[in-house]
Amino acid sequence: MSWVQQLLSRRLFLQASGATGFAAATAGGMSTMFTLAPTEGRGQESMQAANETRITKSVCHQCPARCGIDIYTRDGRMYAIYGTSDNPISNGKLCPKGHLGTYILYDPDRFKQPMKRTNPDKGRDVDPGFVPISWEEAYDTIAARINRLRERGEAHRFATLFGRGWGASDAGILGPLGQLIGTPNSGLGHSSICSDGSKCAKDLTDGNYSYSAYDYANCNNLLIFGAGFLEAFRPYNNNMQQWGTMRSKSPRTTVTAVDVHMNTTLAASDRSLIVRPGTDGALALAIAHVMLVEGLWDREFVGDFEDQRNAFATGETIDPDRFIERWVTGLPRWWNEELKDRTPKWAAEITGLAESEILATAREFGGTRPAIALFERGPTAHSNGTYNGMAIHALNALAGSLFAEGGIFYQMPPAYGPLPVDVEDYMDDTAREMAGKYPRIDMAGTERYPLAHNMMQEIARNHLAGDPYKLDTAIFYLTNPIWTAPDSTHWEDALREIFVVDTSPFPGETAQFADLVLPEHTYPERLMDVPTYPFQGWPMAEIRSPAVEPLYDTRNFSQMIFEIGKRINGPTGDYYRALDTTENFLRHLAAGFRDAPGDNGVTDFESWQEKGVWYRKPYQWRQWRGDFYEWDGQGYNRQMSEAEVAEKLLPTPSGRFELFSEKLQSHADFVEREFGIARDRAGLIQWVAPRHTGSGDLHLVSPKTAMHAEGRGANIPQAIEFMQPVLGGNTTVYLEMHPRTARDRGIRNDDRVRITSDVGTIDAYVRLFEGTHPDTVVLPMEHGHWAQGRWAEGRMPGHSGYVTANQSDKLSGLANYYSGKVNVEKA
Amino acid sequence: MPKWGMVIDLDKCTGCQACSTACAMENNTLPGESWQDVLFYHEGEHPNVQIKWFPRPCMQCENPSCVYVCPTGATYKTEDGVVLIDWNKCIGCKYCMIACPYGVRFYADEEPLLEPDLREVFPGEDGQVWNPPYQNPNEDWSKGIGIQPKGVVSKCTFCYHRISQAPDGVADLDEDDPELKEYVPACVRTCAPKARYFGDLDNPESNVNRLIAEKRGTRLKEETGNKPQVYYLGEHGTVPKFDPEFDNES
Amino acid sequence: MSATVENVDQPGKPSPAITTATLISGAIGLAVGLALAYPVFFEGGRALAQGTNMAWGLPVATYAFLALGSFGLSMVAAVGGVFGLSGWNRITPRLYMLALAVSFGAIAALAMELGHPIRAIWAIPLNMQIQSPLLWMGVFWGVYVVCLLAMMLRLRRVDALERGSRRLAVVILLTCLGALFTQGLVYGMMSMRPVWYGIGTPLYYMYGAILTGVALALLFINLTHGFSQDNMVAAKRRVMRDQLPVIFLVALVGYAIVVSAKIITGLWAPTTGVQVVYEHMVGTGLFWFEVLGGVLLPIALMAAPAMRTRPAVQGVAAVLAVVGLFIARYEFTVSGQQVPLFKGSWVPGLVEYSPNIVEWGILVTGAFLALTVYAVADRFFNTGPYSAD
Ligand SMILES: Nc1nc2c(c(=O)[nH]1)N[C@H]1C(S)=C(S)[C@@H](COP(=O)(O)OP(=O)(O)OC[C@H]3O[C@@H](n4cnc5c(=O)[nH]c(N)nc54)[C@H](O)[C@@H]3O)O[C@H]1N2
Ligand SMILES: Nc1nc2c(c(=O)[nH]1)N[C@H]1C(S)=C(S)[C@@H](COP(=O)(O)OP(=O)(O)OC[C@H]3O[C@@H](n4cnc5c(=O)[nH]c(N)nc54)[C@H](O)[C@@H]3O)O[C@H]1N2
Ligand code: SF4
Ligand code: SF4
Ligand code: SF4
Ligand code: SF4
Ligand code: SF4
Ligand SMILES: [Mo]
Repeated sequence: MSWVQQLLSRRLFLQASGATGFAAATAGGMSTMFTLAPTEGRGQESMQAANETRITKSVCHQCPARCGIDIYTRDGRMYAIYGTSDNPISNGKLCPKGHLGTYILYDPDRFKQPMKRTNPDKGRDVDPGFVPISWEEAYDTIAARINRLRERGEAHRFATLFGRGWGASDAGILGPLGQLIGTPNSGLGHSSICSDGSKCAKDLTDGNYSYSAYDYANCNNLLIFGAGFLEAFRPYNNNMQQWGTMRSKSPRTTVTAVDVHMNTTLAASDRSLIVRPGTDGALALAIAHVMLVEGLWDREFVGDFEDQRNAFATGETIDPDRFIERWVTGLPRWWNEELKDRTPKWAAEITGLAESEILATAREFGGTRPAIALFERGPTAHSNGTYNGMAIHALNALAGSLFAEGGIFYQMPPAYGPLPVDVEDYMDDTAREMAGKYPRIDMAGTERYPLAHNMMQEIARNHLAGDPYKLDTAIFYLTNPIWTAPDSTHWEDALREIFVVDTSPFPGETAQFADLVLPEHTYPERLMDVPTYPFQGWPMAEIRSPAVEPLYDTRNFSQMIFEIGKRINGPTGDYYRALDTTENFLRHLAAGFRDAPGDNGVTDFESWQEKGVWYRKPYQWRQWRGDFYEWDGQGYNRQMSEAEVAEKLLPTPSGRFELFSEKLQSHADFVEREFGIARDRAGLIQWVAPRHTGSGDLHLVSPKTAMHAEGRGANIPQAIEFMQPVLGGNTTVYLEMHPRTARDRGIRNDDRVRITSDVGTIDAYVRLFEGTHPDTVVLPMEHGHWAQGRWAEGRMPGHSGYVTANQSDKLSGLANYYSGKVNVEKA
Repeated sequence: MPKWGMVIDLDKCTGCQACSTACAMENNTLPGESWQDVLFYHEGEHPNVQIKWFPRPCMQCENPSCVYVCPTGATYKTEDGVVLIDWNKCIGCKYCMIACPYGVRFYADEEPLLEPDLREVFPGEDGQVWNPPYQNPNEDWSKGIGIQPKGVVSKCTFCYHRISQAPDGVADLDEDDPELKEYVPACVRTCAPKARYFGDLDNPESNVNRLIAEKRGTRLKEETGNKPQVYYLGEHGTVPKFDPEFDNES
Repeated sequence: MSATVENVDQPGKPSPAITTATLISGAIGLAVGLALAYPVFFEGGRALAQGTNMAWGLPVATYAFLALGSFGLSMVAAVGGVFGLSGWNRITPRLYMLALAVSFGAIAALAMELGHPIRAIWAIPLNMQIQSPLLWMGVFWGVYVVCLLAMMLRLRRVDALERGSRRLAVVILLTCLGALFTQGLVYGMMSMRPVWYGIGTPLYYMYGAILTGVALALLFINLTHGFSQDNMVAAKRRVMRDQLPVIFLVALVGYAIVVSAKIITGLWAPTTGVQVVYEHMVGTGLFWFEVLGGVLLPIALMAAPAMRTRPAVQGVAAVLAVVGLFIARYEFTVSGQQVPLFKGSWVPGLVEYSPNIVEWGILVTGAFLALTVYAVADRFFNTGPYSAD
């Protein structure tokens, strides 16, 4: 501290008094010192203000885990966030990001009011010339464009794109908006750049297009394929709580984790397997092979040979008629046409693992019950992702884990009440004639991607090609594909032509290209419903309530849509006038709790807000030793018929777990065309080699770090400082490279390198790490932003998306983030 | 008077760093001023690589070398076993930073880790180095609680503003007890796998004592004789020594 | 130039022209130093490159070096008094004066480095932390400075060999030893800093101080006489030709032994980390400049009797030695903190530190403040019967 300031310091006097105070106190002992301590004007405050603290229940917004949070405010100021103790997901705990929400509210870079662009040309470094406007002007402008499009019969050229939608009151209102306006493009989701791979694989095998619920607490063996269980996988915070349980309960849950680089998940596991990217399918098939040959499959769920004698022998076919299947179909064919030759030795070749490791893993997984095979983006973000996923999920069938205690199952929806309005009653002629007239701009569900539910990464390309047509106006909500989508630079050309509306509270790449900025409240200021992601199966719905007065002139996203809707000509306006406000909307949902009171006593909107969550245990179904039971109020006592199981739990064509997928088989031509797989084998769970983009010699993988707070992590100083603990990235994130790989290229620690792929070039700093596969380099997706705020902008390294080619798994539609081959040389 | 102590189970710790961010937000520390840090290191060759880590708060030593060297008594040990800094007395000589074997003292009045400098974005008032809008209202400079003024040293206070309010005679501050959670140190309260425990080391009944006894709790750098009041359990995070190979890595 | 400095009323009195020149260069240097260092006055610690990972950097090295220099000078002066070496009374006054000036420089550097220098003035005495070496270091230093002032005033009237002055010299000598020992303890006690740890450190400090003292003595006495001994009174000339240079040579050789011993033990030290630091150190050009230029070259210059007596040569050797000693002090301060207390990814390898311009400014300020004070004091004290010295 400078002398100058000291001499001027108001506290000089206090300091002196303090010293004498202490001198005296030391005699009198420490305790007296506290009283004598020089805290006039300091410290006292804390004491008297303590009673004014207010706690508001809300839900964290930094990843889809949806942790219930207590927001601490005093005098209208938010000063802390802790997990809500009686929230089933957070249980009073938080992940490292949870606490940073406080900062997000006070982010100095936030937009402060609605604005419109005055500079017609758009570009990264072009100043948009934003000028403040009124909310009325903003709504009118958008409504006018929609009305004009509808008059011209071009309603389909209006789109809304969303990312991590939360529930009925945000993502949920986009579909109806589309129906009413008459566009197939309202509610274009980002799931195809997210994790549709696992959903698709599950849909094709057990008929549930969904993420799963897991009973970790009762599971004794966990086999993780390419999921950041301790970095990212949902619900991260709760995963870690479960981890604590799994690692301290007896028997201790043994964990094997498969990945392409060493991370904390692998480090904390009992066994870590580092494979070549995109080869998980081979590993899973080999594990299945061993489970069958060694008789480790669950006979009660899967079935058995009629004479109970195991005829599965490597390389030898079995007689299909002699195997009696229980809840699976296609097992004999799967064995005869695929599995019999999928030995550990074969898989070792492909994955780069040691045969012994594969064997040990298979025996442990097959020999332990209950066991769960879990996977997410790792194995599925490749051209062969769905086939990989199906092979992995098949392990859950072989282990009899589906709907079993300590196994894997699916999420029940919340008991929401109905809305006061029905879309059908408010569709005018335009809306009706437009219905089904045009395909979606992303062509999801068309002959291009028959199984995909979304294809966000195609939108810019399709728009630029005018195929199927060009968009006119697009509202972006919680998504920023211009940065996060693969090879995203072409989005810049597309957004130049489109009238862009961004709703983020923060500056971002999309906003940089926006014509209108309608800043939403940040989550501590917001009111919205948050039904849980697949969690423990039993229904659960949380709610965000404002903890502070909005800092700036912002709005709820839902309210924006309602206000725009009210300005649409015809019955649409009436529909939204009927819904009117977000709160009214939520009150109708909450009405459903009256007949289904939550276990925590939540019965209406008020109690919902007070508790922050409604939930009703237990999960309704259980599979027990090959039979399915339904909860009858006391226990899982009512045995279910095959028909009921087919309807409620395994909605596949066969009503069973399909090791030969009939749904996939029905797309045989497509599969043959895209994968070169013989038509009659299309539906078979099988090994398909990954098609890696790029001509380089190193795979580039760009995972999330635990500190990656969706969309904002790069501009939160307290996140940046902890971003990459394993390699010490606290101002940048380093490119992980195996020492040998580096030596061959004359690269040393901390060197600046150039990463080049077919689609682009970025720079990064290197840290040598023996934990990365020598054929692979790893660059966490985080920095390299050019419009996310003062801490994010221009921070090295470059963005991995700029060297990631836009190739997708033709089945799930999931973008192949983790496949690209690049060159790395010293910069 | 309790003797507060912490137990960290390295077999459960996931290295998530929630303790670090919880501490940073609760105590409004600046980037780089990590009162609580999780130290990561790796060893071995592919495919037998190990990543290890251990969380590092202030050890609140029983024989605190930081206290012994402090020429002004600004650093002192409280009766309930916590080492605090009186910011009204610290002269910023940094001798305590030299003398702390565990590297958990910070001189926040230094070049910023991250640009732009938060201290310029939220300029300090009334002597504080910075004024975040979300500042924790608890503050007592005579105990190093709050946002420090310039030119002094800061460190983990064991969240003294919380634990010092705890009801008398409690054996453990367990965040799962609704009555006590507000008194639990931020890093302990938020730890998802429950790898951290906080309690009275002088109370034979306390859970922390039981854990230390049953799971053979160890302390860092015993050779220094500082006698930390933070104990570690489990094999996972044997504490690394600095060695030449390690240096050559970088 | 000897002719010009011939002085009528006082045989052997150094020409005021030189002190004026010293004063001017001192003032200029001081101005430059302050200009470089000014950010520290407004931004405080933020302006310095040192921080949490390297708590003590160049500013601390500066203060330590100057402090040692001051103690060294006084010791050289005091032994003369204590043992009543004839002829030394001709140089002691000037040495005490220089010692005092250098102490001021040291204190200035320290004050600029401290977070709260003013607070230190009351906080340290008021709280009496008797277990902290820094406290004792402060006490000894305080007493020492007071004694020096007393001595200065005294020497305006009486000779350095007079009984009272000799008694005072004893006290000064003791305070020097005390201050040096505690100063050494500040580092030597740190078991958590293996590079510093050990009783050898205080001794190493003591030795370094003596050599610095001798070198500075040679340098400044010659300086004030315009690097010519012709106009010195016989007694003084004897000291400057036959005694000090020899002592200097012996001290240098001894120092050479100490340094090599230190390096060797360092390189083979069993304690983890220590080797790494020394290996790193011997890898730097700075280190070799210190050894070759700062130790061996001066030894070479002082070894030959013919050269040894020449004032210019003495000056060059002294300057080289002083620079070498400063580098040593810097290396010692920094190397002790280079080993991160834990291996870990946040601080991989040794702690990097390179002083910034402000920190250099503090060095310049400290050094030239000393020079200025010295020159001013020269004006102030150099009256009375012994003003020739
Ligand atoms: N901290 C944090 N958590 C998040 C999010 C966030 O932004 N930040 N986002 C949430 C969202 S939207 C999602 S979709 C989930 C995603 O959750 P995850 O899918 O678990 O996360 P990712 O990091 O995308 O990928 C997981 C792992 O796959 C590995 N991997 C890459 N290629 C392969 C491969 O070929 N085989 C195998 N076995 N592994 C491979 C990567 O190295 C990475 O460790 O995370 C959610 N949780
Ligand atoms: N290389 C690589 N690329 C990836 C991934 C990866 O692991 N590696 N992960 C992929 C995955 S799993 C996903 S899900 C996608 C996610 O990619 P996106 O769908 O683009 O989502 P985010 O990038 O998380 O954030 C989108 C925008 O939401 C804005 N935002 C933040 N808070 C709010 C708010 O409260 N309200 C509103 N309206 N907006 C807000 C942010 O400013 C940001 O611009 O990225 C994918 N891209
Ligand atoms: S896991 Fe972390 S980021 Fe995700 S919701 Fe929970 S606290 Fe927020
Ligand atoms: S919060 Fe708990 S689990 Fe996470 S790093 Fe800290 S101690 Fe480990
Ligand atoms: S760990 Fe360091 S700072 Fe904390 S009490 Fe011990 S010596 Fe002091
Ligand atoms: S920096 Fe402050 S606390 Fe540390 S030793 Fe100096 S005066 Fe004491
Ligand atoms: S006890 Fe409090 S101050 Fe100490 S590390 Fe934990 S959170 Fe930070
Ligand atoms: Mo995602």
